[in-house]
Amino acid sequence: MKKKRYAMVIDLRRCIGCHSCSVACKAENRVPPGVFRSWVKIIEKGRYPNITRHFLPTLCNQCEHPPCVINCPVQATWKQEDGIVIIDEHRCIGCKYCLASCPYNARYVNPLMPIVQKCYFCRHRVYAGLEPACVEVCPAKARIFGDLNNPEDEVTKLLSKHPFQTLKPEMGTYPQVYYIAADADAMDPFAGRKEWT
Amino acid sequence: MSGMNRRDFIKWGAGGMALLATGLPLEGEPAPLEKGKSISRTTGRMRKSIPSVCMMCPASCGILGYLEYGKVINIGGNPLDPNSRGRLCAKGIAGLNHLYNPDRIPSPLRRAGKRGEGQWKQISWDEAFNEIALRLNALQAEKQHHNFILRNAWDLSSNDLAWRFASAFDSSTTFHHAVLESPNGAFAIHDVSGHSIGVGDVSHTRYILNFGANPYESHYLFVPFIQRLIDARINLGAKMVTFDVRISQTAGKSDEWFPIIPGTDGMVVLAMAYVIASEGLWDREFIERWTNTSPARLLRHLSAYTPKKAESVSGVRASDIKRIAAEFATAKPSVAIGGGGALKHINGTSNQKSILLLNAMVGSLDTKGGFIFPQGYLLDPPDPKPPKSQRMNPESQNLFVRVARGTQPVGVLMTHMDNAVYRGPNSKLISHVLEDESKIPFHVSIDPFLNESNLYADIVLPEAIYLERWDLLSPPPMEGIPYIALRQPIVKPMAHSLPFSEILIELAHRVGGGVERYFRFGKMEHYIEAMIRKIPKLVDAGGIDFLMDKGIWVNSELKPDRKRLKTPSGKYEFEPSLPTYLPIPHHQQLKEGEFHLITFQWNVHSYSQTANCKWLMEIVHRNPLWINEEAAKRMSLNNGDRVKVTSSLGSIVTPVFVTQGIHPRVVALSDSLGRWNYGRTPQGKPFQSQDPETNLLWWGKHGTGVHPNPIIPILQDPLGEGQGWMDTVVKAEKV
Ligand code: SF4
Ligand code: SF4
Ligand code: SF4
Repeated sequence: MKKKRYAMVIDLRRCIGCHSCSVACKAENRVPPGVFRSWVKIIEKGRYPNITRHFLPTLCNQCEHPPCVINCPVQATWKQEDGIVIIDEHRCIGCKYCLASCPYNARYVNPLMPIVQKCYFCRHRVYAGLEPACVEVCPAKARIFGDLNNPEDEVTKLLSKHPFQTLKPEMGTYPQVYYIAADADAMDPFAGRKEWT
Repeated sequence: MSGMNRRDFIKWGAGGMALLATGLPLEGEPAPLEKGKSISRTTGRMRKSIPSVCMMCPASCGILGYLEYGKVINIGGNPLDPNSRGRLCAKGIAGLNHLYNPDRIPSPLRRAGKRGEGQWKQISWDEAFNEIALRLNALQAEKQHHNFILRNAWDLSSNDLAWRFASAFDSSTTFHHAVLESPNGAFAIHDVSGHSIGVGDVSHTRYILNFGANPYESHYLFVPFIQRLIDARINLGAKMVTFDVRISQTAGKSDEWFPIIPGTDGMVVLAMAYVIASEGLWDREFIERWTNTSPARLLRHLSAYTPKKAESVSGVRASDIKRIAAEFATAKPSVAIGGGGALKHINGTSNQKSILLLNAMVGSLDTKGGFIFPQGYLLDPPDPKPPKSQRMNPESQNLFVRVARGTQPVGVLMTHMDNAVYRGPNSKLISHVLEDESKIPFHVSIDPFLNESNLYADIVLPEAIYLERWDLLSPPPMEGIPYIALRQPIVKPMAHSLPFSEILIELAHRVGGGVERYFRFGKMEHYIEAMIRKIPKLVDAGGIDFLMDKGIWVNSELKPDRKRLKTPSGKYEFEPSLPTYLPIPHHQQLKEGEFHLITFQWNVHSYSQTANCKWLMEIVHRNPLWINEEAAKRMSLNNGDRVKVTSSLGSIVTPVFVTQGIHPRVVALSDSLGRWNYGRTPQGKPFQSQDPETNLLWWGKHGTGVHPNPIIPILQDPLGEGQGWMDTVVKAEKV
């Protein structure tokens, strides 16, 4: 069998900004209060009465060139062959070098124990033939998960049919979370309008 | 990815064009990943799951409770549910925060101090039941049955059982039941079609004309409705146009958004109907065949509603009204829907009727892609049933007005998942009434949590939450094929709590005097089985055993078909009085510095029910007042500055959220935050409990919001009896 290359497509034509994914992730991965593995950024743009809203669910991009991995002094984090970037919680010494190197703020220190954590595409579910928790629950079917090495897979088909974007491409990290119809301002951490919550 | 190497693929990166389709076969479905399962991260074992039904909002999505060592570890969607199709919203998952909430009431409580002081003594169930029975017996002895009032304000699935109890006690005029939709909307739908519920068939539509609904954030069929709406927008290219005073997520994602002066939607709707009629864009045949009015009469009636007049009333340009009306009439099928923004006004019932008329104009009533009337099974509870009550009152605020005025005597007030002080308008009036022992001599509250209202109760009974109890439901089927859903206990009730049903059954027997006759069915399970027995096909499929296993039963032999109209004429009844626009009198002369105050719901909250869920509060906990940037500038307000908002009832002080996304004459405050007695979680400060995570609550320092209801006066639509939530006029000043 061909090697897997896991990726997620987030179709922002569909997303309703409901945070179902944020909460599903909390429940699935027991993510404590104050930190998130998955978060939906919501902005409004324009001048009255020409206003629009834009959503941007974010999570670890499982970068093809992950700077977080390079900077770990004890090799507690690495990229697997299937593309998922993982952390060995037993090796992690909580030094936070990786936190600082991630351009996406995807990592956090667990407030209940001194280890760094982040999204790993619900690997435990994926290997059991299940979708990541945020994908399964999404009411709008905006999140699609799959294998880019499989031309039949929905992620591959979607990316072949539609223009897509990734976050901060200039960082050369090659994210494996792809967006369809993302708003440029929502993707830019500095531009765009204020968040509203 | 044959024919293309990995690097090339990646290079397409940001803003890249679509990959060339060459060499990539597009047909064929990928092997679907499995749904409706859960695996333990630590042991790698698949978890046992029990199907049930969500109750964090009225939509009743099918859920699966995943168990590990006897604890519910997660909640997922039930893929067999034909409405939600295995999807859930944030609230549905956060039901876990209710189940294991550290503030659940530990045992029956008796008031120990004065009403409202929050002093309690734990008592046994036996003591509690006896005291309540004694009080009810006293009413029976004095022949004052009708002074027993039962309010079941939230729990749709218990409406029937609660009605049974109230009617058996012969208190038929004072039973307040939960409603699925806005009372105004439901009243209008019933009046016109004879059906009890109506909803846009958004899966099949090509045009959604939305007056004040916010389905991206909240809808009484939230998850089932929104997923179909999105499908239509993406797969059928359906256009969505929203009229709303505020840039809700729905408005902000619509193809066009028109800010509108609150309460004037009806005017725009009728002006559109006029355009469609006068330009001959209507479906004459449909009007003649299916409505009890005629094109000629309609045209005459509608000619009072010209786009120009509508512009002067609503602020929406006449040219836009004409253009959208023509688009709506020519995109087929199209549907007009109404939500809180149009319905929660004192003219809301006529607005909904006008919206139905607009659908009728283009032949979109009970048609694919139009406005449909999904009817679930009519469940038939066991005999004997108490005699039918004469009148049930859906919106309940007036009860407290009557009590305050002394025109409504009360002997025993029983409230179930009802928080009138928090949920109702004019919170102060309601809390004063509840505090007054001469007005409410005895108040028993049934609820999993202490809240702003049962703070005044004499006895509080700890209720099992929806994950711990039985119910049989048949929600409005979005696909038109009725189905049955079973709510069953995923775990046993926590601590000493009991399900509402068991509390009523036990009470009925203790009260006696004939009440118990209607509760001889035994337990809730038997009550459910009796209803199942009346559906032979379900019995054939395995009855309750089937439901306990799958959670959902769909009668696959039924086909969706056009329903016979239950109106006397067999047609949609817009006559004798065709829908009109009723201006809201006190809106007419707003002075400088005055605003319309409207309320709204956040997508992760539902009214009074969710502020104690840590996962939801973490996402939305502040409740700033939305104000237009223009208006803010005039008042030299910056984001976060505080304003005093004053209505005829008094003032509240709240920080502002300065935005371009709201009508300059409107300020908005959500109705789900700003809790003053709902346990510790809403406060967002760390505390010790059996859940180590409560030590980490953090949002308290950002503020937890102010609640608008204390300054919203009680105002009722005379037709549908719905509260005018969006009709308050306020003054705002910087503090
Ligand atoms: S669950 Fe889906 S629709 Fe909701 S915010 Fe997440 S990606 Fe968007
Ligand atoms: S998003 Fe951050 S944490 Fe995730 S792989 Fe990329 S650099 Fe590492
Ligand atoms: S829409 Fe959300 S809260 Fe409502 S029933 Fe469905 S999952 Fe539960």
